[in-house]
Amino acid sequence: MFEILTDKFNNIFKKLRSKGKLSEAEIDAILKELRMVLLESDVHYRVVKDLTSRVRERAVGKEVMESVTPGEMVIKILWEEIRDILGGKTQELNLSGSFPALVMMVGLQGSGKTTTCGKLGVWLKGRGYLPLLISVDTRRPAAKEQLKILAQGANLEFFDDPQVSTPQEMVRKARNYAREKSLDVILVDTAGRLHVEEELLRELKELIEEEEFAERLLVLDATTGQEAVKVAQSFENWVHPTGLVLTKVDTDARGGAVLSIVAQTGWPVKLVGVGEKLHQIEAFHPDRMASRIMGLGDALTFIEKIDRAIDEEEREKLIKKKVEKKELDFNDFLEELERVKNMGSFQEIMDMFPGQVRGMVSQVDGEKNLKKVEAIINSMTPEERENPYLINASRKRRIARGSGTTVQEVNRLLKQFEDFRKLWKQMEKGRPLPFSKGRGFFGLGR
Amino acid sequence: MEKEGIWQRWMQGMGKMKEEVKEHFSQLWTKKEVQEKDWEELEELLIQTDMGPALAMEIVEDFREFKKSSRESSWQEWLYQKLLSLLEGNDPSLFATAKEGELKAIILSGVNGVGKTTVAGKLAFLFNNQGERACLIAADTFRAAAMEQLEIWAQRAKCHYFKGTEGADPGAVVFDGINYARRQGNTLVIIDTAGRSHVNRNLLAELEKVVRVTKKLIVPSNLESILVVDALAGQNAFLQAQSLLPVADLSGIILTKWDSQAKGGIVFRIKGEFDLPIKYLGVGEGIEDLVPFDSEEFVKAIIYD
Ligand SMILES: Nc1nc2c(ncn2[C@@H]2O[C@H](COP(=O)(O)OP(=O)(O)OP(=O)(O)O)[C@@H](O)[C@H]2O)c(=O)[nH]1
Ligand SMILES: [Mg+2]
Repeated sequence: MFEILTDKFNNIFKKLRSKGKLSEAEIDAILKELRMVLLESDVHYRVVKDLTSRVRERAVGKEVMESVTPGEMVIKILWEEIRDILGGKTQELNLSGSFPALVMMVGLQGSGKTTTCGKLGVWLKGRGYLPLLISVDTRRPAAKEQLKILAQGANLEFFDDPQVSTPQEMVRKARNYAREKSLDVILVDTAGRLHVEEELLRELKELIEEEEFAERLLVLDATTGQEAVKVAQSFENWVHPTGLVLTKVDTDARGGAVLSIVAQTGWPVKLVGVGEKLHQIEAFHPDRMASRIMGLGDALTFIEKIDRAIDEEEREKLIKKKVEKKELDFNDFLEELERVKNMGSFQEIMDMFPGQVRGMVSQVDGEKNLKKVEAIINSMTPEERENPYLINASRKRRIARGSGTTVQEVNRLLKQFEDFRKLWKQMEKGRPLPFSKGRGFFGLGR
Repeated sequence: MEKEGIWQRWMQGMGKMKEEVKEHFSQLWTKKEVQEKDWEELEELLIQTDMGPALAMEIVEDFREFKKSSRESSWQEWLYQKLLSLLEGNDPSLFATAKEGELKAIILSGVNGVGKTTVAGKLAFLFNNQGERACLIAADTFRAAAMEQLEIWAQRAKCHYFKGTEGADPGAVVFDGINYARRQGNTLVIIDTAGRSHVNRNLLAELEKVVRVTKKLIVPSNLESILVVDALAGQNAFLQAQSLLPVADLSGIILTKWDSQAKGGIVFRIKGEFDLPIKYLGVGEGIEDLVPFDSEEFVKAIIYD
């Protein structure tokens, strides 16, 4: 996406040769493209309008620099604006006030409230809290059962009383139970409801009027479209959410809806869900999200993460080696895998990349196969590692035997390696990722 | 549920938006000098429906052309034809060419929480009422209580139900489920699959296997592979369709949560790009809240009320 954009911008600038300062015509040409990008990302059109006019204001008359193209400059200004909106009010979960603290999940049907309850339970437990999970969802078939199973699987406390008929009563009973067992946070899962279902929203309103909730979290699906703004409006009227949890961030949804909502309400994004498993919940990174909404992938934070993992010296060495040798070999491949392993699960890391990169690399098939990959490479001779073309049928058999794998698996790795090599070459040739001059893919590029 | 009633109910939600849009078109139509700003506003109103910026721009462009060239016909008629043309050839029927006497199958797939399981229950109810003997197969062996959820729907729809064990391979469950349904004399199986991120390779491979297994046991004319899409979804729904199309060999789409008053404009884009017909709309959480998608009614209601 970014490449398409920069190409477009370059064309624009061929026409509009800039002298010294960014002109309005130039900026408008760029903003027209960026407007499309934001709308494609499901940012609400009004928010897009606001943003572009603010960027225009900031960009007009800026000095044109040597090392940064005007297009990049405008992109960066927009990126900063988005990040600032998203990050203006980053906040920790608030668990103060009454004891035990009450945290409520609200949202549309299918947005991920139940899973988020389970995740939050695990997350809090990992931070020394003793959470209790309850559900007041009597509408969706097997909803309570779902939460119960999640709780059991994660060794979390779960409470239910089939006799109870109202959400209020359920919360009261759960509180007594929590006090008896010295549990300090109660996570309340509610039934999904549409922003137009007033009766159901009133039910929530009554509950929050009676009980003091430390947090009322609106769970938002990252794939939501333009309607998000109305959803927020309605929940604001009835529930006054204290923050957002953004879910399904493990899809390729750009998640513009979250920007629409935050721009409108100022609610802080407290956490993001990045997978179906209960540990797949993360703190929110405004910078990462800004890149994502702009279609720049999650590369920015990822690269910063890599930066910390590699010390400067090692990288320089690597870069030098690359310059001399030019071709990627299995030693590099192995080194990269090592580094990646230190930073989280392979799948999780791959998922941060834009689609086309992810598509190629996740063929390595996640963590499970990572071990096999290493074993296979370790069974190669130094010669073979440097020159994979040497590996003929009999060598393949030997490598397979040595690594406890099959010839097919060796073949697959060789094939993947080829893809990887191609990709790496592209990265070397192509532009570095935005805002990452001098760095590159996997820390390998330039 | 009465068909008209549902359209009306849904259109109530469209009301406000529609008036706005119509007013705009109307004004633009009669104005002599239209400002750039006005065109832009029209475009924004269209964008608000989630049809995507490119399509919105295209419609505005076409409308401008039309305004220049013609004075006779009404703008309503023009817009009606324009929107309808985007849905041209949409056939909402399932199993149009099915072989009688052979078992039929519907596979439901989609991202998490879009409404697959609910649709499964609704379809079982619908087809049972049309004289089929449906069997629901729970191929979501991953999500907690997913199988229980479908079982409750089976009870509501009064139909057969088959499940595997938790964590079992969905492909194997489908294999056993279809054979079970055959033995029980069912005429239709409805396969509820787990929600999945459409960019997760492993989960895509899993779905591919479910489809492969089904194809081995069901003749091609009797198989419908349906993508379930949330009407509240934005442009990502397009990518969902793009990704699952080859994996699940999709034959149609069901849009859920239409009662949310979301405009669901993504329908136009998906139909246009992939020529995937829209089959049904989910319009609520009740078992009867499923209506066949009628494109003429749909567009007519948007423009004329
Ligand atoms: N208002 C409304 N809610 C719906 C509709 N269809 C489904 N839902 C609700 O959406 C939520 C999710 O539905 P499910 O059928 O469990 O979705 P799913 O795709 O099977 O979910 P997973 O299996 O968890 O991926 C439930 O609360 C349903 O009641 C609809 O047409 N309208
Ligand atoms: Mg389901």
